[in-house]
Amino acid sequence: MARRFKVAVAATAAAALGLSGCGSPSAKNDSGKADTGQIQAQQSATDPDAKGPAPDVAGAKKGGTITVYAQTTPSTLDPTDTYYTDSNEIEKLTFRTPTQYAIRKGQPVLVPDLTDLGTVSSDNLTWTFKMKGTFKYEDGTDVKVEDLAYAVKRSFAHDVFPNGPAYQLSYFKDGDKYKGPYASGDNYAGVETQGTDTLIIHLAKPFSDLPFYLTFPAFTPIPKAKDTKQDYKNHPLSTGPYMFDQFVPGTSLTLKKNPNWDPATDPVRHQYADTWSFKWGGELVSTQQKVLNSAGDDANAIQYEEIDASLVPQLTGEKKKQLLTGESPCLYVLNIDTRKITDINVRKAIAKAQPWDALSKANGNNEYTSEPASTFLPPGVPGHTKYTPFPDLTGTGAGDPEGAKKILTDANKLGFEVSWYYDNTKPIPQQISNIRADAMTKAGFKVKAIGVATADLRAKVSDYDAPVNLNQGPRGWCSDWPTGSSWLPVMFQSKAIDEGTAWGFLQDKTLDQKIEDVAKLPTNEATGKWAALDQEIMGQYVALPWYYTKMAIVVGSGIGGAVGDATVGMPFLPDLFVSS
Amino acid sequence: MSDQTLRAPQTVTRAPRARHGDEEAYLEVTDLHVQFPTADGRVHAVQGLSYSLPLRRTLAIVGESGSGKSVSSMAILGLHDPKSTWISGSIKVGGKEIVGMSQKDLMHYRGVDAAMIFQDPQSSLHPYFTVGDQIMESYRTHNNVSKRAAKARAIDMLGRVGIPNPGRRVSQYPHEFSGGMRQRAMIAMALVNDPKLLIADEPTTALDVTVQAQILDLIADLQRDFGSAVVFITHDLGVVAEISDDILVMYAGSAIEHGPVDKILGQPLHPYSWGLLESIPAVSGTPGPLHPIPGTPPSLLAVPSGCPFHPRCEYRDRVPDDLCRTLKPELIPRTADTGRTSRCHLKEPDRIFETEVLPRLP
Amino acid sequence: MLLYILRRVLSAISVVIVTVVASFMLFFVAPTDPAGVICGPRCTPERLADITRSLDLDQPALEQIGLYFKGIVAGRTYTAGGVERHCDAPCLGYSYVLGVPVTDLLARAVPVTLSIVIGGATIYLLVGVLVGTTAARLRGTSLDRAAVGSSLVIGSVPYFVVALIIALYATFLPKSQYTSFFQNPGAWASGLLAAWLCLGLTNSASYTRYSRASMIEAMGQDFTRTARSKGISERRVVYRHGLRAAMTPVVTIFGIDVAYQLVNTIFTERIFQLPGLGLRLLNAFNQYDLPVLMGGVIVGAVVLVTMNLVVDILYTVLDPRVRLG
Repeated sequence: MARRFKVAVAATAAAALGLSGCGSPSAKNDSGKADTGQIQAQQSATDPDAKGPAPDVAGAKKGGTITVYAQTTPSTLDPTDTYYTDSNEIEKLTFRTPTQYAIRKGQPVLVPDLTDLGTVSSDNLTWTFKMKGTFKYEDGTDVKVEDLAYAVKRSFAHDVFPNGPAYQLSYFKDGDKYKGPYASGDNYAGVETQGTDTLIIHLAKPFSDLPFYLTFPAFTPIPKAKDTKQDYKNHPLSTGPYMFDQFVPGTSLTLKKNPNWDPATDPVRHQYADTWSFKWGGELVSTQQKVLNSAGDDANAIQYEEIDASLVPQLTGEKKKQLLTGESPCLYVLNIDTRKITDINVRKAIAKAQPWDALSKANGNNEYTSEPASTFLPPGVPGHTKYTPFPDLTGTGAGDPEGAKKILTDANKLGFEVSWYYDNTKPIPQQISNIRADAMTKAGFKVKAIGVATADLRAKVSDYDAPVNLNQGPRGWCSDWPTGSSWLPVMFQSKAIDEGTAWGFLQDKTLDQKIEDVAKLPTNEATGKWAALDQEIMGQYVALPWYYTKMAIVVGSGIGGAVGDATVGMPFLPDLFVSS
Repeated sequence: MSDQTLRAPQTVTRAPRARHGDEEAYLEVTDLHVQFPTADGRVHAVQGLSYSLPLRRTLAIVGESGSGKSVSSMAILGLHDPKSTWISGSIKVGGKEIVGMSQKDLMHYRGVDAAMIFQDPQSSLHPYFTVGDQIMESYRTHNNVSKRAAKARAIDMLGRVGIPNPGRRVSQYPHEFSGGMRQRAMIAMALVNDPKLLIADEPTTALDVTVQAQILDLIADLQRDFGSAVVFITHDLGVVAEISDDILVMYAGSAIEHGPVDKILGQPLHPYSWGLLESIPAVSGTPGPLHPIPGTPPSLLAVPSGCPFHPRCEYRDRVPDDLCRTLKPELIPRTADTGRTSRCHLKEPDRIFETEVLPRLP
Repeated sequence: MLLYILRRVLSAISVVIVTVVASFMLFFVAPTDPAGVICGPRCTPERLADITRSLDLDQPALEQIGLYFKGIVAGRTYTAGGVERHCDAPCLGYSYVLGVPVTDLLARAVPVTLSIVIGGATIYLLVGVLVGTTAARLRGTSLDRAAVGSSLVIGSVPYFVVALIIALYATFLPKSQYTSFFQNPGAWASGLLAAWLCLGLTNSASYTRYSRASMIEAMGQDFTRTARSKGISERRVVYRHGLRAAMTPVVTIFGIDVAYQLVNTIFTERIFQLPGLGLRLLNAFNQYDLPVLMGGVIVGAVVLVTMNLVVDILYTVLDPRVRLG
């Protein structure tokens, strides 16, 4: 149950696009150009035997300073409070976790980092992780297994760290009772240590993806004695190749080499550059332009937000090499409330009426940052299969108002009222709403589009009792880890309504059970079954897929080793080096 | 022959001053022309002005606004912008030729050989500097002395012009002085370097009557003490009678009468002068309608042909052949008295005055 | 004079107080729920209540204002989830998003903005006065026309266009970044050079015009003529007498202008990547970080009111005719 937008607020913000709100729709290009790179389906891979050192990136050189620009500031760099993709990726430079993803041939592979990939008991409720070696913090002190346990406990203090991931609250034993070490003390039944190297986690219910979950920065070890609570974020202790040098919250961060990081123990990371310099707040388009121009120092810079449509025409010749594309595990849909729209014919008519091409254009989608969607599991998540798309569920097309009208008439539902909320203070949401309203009116629906201010939108769209039947939240979803179980159970089980993550608002006990059964299986066995469920649910027309996001960012001409981190849709920072 | 008493109702009658004078001219103006090229044409501010003034004598230059009196006096100090003024003729002060003098020489000359005091002391003194500063500035520009010495001199000058408590006043700003005191301060500033020529451009116009008298006295006293020549520009005939030896009446850029003051005011020989006298209202006697000169002074862009006054002159038709319109009269003696000159074609102007103008005066 | 300053300071304080209260009221009327913002996307009712309580948001409005002012004077302590956060006086609140005291955030940002404005303002004042007075002296010549014409052109180009052009294409300039003056004055100056030039160039246009007009007027005053008649050198007449009088209106405009610039550097900071007050407040605005915005309002009010007072006092120094009180 997680949404990982790069932006902190306003759930309706299109995470895939730069946020200035004045992005103009890109020039309409025919999708189907080979060089935009169709997204590859890939297998979830785990490699339990991976060892350090991480294999060198081809051509890598040591030295130099890499500058990283972004307009939106990460709200925090406290590992326990980190959930959003930007902080998550940055913290891969500084925090080692029990497990982590290595990027091999552009694909993420789960590997041991501080511990092995874990073994589970026969009742699936106890997981045991063994530390693989000895590790030190930036100050030379040893990493103890108690520190790993402390980090787990700290992740329950949601009043102090309200933004961190929350799966442990529902999956770990007593997760609903324990309030973290500050309020509830050190005794927590959900985690224990054995000896000097064994971490044991007790669950309240089976969680077969736990090894994937432990890649989150919240599980990096934190020594209790050095936990300065809400001040910890100003200089958290590093176990990774880089450590905090100077940090100005909300503005800038410089990282320098951590002398106590041992590459021989780390299968994932490298220490190529001497320093990293993060600068937040600069205007999006002009910083991307500077990186593209690559004059002087800007050649060793990247800007990790989606490339603005206005810069796309410059990507010709040599400049094309400066565009880093990759996968991003996000999908945008048009959500239908099946509690209120019970007739599948009406839902099919809604799908038929959608002018997906026009909507994509208004949204500023370009071939680099998005791909029309026809499945729930995006490419890059194992279980994604490109099955034959259902009619009108391809995320493309001009819409067919006549056809939709016919379906409605045949079903005796002409004039059916559809309603949704939209942000009436920003140009793009207004445009999208208008285009949709026009098309659906032509298709014989009665349209009620309710405009609200940006500040109100989040609340209205997450209110599942609101008097609308379309486009309630979440309007987009990004998986927290690359398995089907971070998608289908989260969106389509009946508990999703209570948890605020419902697509389709399904309350189908049979489906619930089917999903439960697959979720219990070990990851590799589950993959094929998720694909089948994806197709089955899609055929019910409960949520209409629009587009998957793709990562497309600009890197300076002096940057080498650039590859995408498909787990978050960001550039994989630990591989970057300065090539000149 | 005529009654010498003057119709100057605004003055207090005093004993006439002792009038001395050297014979050699200190200031000599010869055929001075001053023109300003403008977008609308050439403005002929001064046309062919000539006069001379020795030390210890006071010349009053009288005229309406636009008669050229101020322009001619500014030319004496070389204060016109050489880039936008065309000057021809000669101005000699103490033997130095001012017309065409270089800016560098002008700086040495101004304030030393000749100095000027202006009409409105409020606006003519810099509001941001103390009175003492401004006097000292003038002194130190031309004399290499210490600040302390200059300050002593400034205090001395302020005392000389009759400002009480000069030691305290020297550090005050112009706005802290009353009108009369301000003008005294300006006079002190002008005289600090002992200039032999003082030009006073309407120094009392902005002051009220009682103060005016004091200033006039002051100028006269200083002239006697310093032995300087004074040019007094004014439009107030009463003031003229008080202090000047000679008078020069200007109209539309030309001098139209010149001579000793008692003669010019006692027996004017130019229709313009007659008109001036007639237009003075009487304080005593039976009240009657005012008698201004008909018409308005001409624009200096288009000075009338011939005699500049002819469009307004009541006596034009007494001159045959329409001469007033075609030929500009010379400034020459028009009667048996060679000590005075006027610029008019009329024959026997003295007779016309006696018989026609004088009876009309109140 | 001292009494006057005291009176003005007191009235300034009351203006700031009123501004703070007014902004506070605005935020209450505004349609956001600050606790909801901090709570994040997975908000439970219990968590929401806890956050609301910890920020004193459940108190009546007057109480909250009172607490806020008390915090400014004496500091404030927030508790949440068993953890205490102490905010030292002057406590302007805690940033909802970044979780650091607002005072710290602003204290870091204000020197940057100050540096930008001081450098830029110095440039545009000097350039403007220089060009303007020269143009006034050479009035009517082609140089004068060229100066006025070019200042018109420069002044007409929208500021952000000039800023973008300089930021993107003037790569010969040193890289734009902020280093504290106390750390390294050389780096401080070179990192700000681009922003200074941008600010200086574009704003010099109006100062050229002001100076020129003021100078022309001053040179036409009677006291200039008097000065000349004393035999002073032309240079002294122009600079000591003329310029001195001409500068009074220019300097007073400048004083108010600088105050305005101090709260309007958003474009410059955004485009040149300088982490000043404008950028900080823009981020706060985008993220509904109300305490930071409130802090910004207070800083802005204090700056403007102070500059007003400074300008008024300055005026008496410049013009002895003006008396305050």
